[in-house]
Amino acid sequence: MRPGGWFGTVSKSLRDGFFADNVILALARAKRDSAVSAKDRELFGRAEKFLADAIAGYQWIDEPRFTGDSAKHASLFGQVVRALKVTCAPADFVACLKELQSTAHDLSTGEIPDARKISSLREFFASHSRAEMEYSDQLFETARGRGGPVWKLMV
Amino acid sequence: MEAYGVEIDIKLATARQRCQALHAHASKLETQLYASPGARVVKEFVERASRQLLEFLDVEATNPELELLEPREREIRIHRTCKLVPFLYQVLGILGGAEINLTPAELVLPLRRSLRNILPHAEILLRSGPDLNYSILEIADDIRQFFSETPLAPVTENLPSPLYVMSIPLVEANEVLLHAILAHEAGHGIYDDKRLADQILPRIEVPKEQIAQLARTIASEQREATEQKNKTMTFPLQEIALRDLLTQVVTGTISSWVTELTCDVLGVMIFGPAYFFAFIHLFSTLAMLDEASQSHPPPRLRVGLMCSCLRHRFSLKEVDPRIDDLIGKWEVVGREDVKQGRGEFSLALNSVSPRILILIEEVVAAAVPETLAYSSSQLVDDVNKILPLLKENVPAAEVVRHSHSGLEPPEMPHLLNAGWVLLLARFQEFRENLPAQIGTDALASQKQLNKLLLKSFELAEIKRRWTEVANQAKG
Repeated sequence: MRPGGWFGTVSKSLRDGFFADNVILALARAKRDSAVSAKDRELFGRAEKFLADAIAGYQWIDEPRFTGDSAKHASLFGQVVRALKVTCAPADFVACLKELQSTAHDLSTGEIPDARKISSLREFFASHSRAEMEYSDQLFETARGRGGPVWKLMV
Repeated sequence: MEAYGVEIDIKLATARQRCQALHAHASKLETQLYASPGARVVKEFVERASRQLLEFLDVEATNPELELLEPREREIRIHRTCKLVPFLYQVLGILGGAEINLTPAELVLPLRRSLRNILPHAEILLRSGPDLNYSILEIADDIRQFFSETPLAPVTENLPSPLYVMSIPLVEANEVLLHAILAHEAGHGIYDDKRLADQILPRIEVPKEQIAQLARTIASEQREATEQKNKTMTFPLQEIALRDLLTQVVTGTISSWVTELTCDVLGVMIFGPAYFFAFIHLFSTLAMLDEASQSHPPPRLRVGLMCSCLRHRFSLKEVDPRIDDLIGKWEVVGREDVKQGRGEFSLALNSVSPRILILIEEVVAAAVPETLAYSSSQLVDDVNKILPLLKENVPAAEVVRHSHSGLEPPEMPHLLNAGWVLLLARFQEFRENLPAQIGTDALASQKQLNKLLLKSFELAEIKRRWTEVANQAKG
């Protein structure tokens, strides 16, 4: 008998948005300094995990086994879909995420990837940041949560 | 100042004003009376957070690093920072309905005590709302989560963990028998705290063929919708979007159903039949037996599971044959197949198999120590000792227990169970002992029973607190 969970949903959306904003700023710093501070390395490590968990969410349906993290991974996968506004084929989608993950990994070890890769990662997190902003704005407007049915099926 | 352009400067300046107003309002609430200790926690948090947010807005206004961002990136970042203000408004808004005149104050401390038996650091805020529904939200984690990516994270350090906001219907705030439903809500705390999902979810087998069938159904519905809309959308539904949809539906529904079912068993475990009776009384009004949602399984499934748990844990014949008979009737209801047509729900029904329902009972039994569980012998004892007092219209502030030489104030589950048995099996006897103008009216008699229970809670809590203080004084 929990309500829509508005409070938890809006907290999560804003937190994820703040996270994306922080990654964007760290990428801008990496570009300016051609170096990554220890604090930013930790941040890029979390960006890498975010992308890895989203890939796990994408793959869940191929071998549907539950863990305590299944719903979380599914939710991250949904966030990535919203951020990428996917139009590509599944294979490209996974390849794209893996490349972003690899860029985040390089940065987390202090390595500076080429400018194109940094730009792609920044574009992704900028899109994620916008998507979460739109979503949290909607939540504030409706004062409800992501509690309703995602898809209504009448079979 | 115009550091980043007029639109961002005005955004920060007005956010500052809103924040100052919020801080001033929170400070004014010092004179407001609340029944729950959690109210002060929330009020002080908002005061602290709004004060620090004011400083943070000043820092952001002159943060030279923001020059590194594109104008759109900067605008979004600042906009999100400003969102901290309406979020804090929402936090403060929780206090609405928690005022002492809007909540049964007698219930707060016994409720908190019952909860702390299970979760020792829990704090509660009881409030009444306009909906005919009960809810519980743990808000400390959400608040921490929200602030965790901002420089304001330390402001959440003093929040108790967990901090529960419990909402009850305003119109029936004094219907304490129905408040036994809060046992389920406390179950959510145990479920999260003891990470019961990790013990149950991995054992679920999701029927792959049924997922494929569900995918075909969604695709087919999508096709129909597209044709109707004159091909404004592309078809077939892109595989990525379909995967996203399926994954969310399947993982979301099954995880939520397992959570709710487990909390039902936890409710029975810690509050006994009182939780089950409150459940069926509330749900008879609010829900259809076979109606499910993505967040909640059909009540029929829940009833079946709870009846099974009641049979395993309680010797109901010994309590009262009428109670045994009543549970028997609900068992029949719970045994019938759920009539469910929606694809994702029938998939969830198949996944939450009888084997999983047994597992849920086992996991809960292992998670709740016997000292905290409400037992069959306690139920019989309560019916023999508390019920006779209530039946005579006497508040049950203390009872003689076998294991103690003195008189002991009964705890919440004991009073609620005695109250429910009195209402469901021996209500006529209670009514006969009331003044005629009340006893002849069933509704007025029920109201009197609830009042009597509230008074019992209050007196029992005073007695318990008195003993605690006396023991502390003795050292």
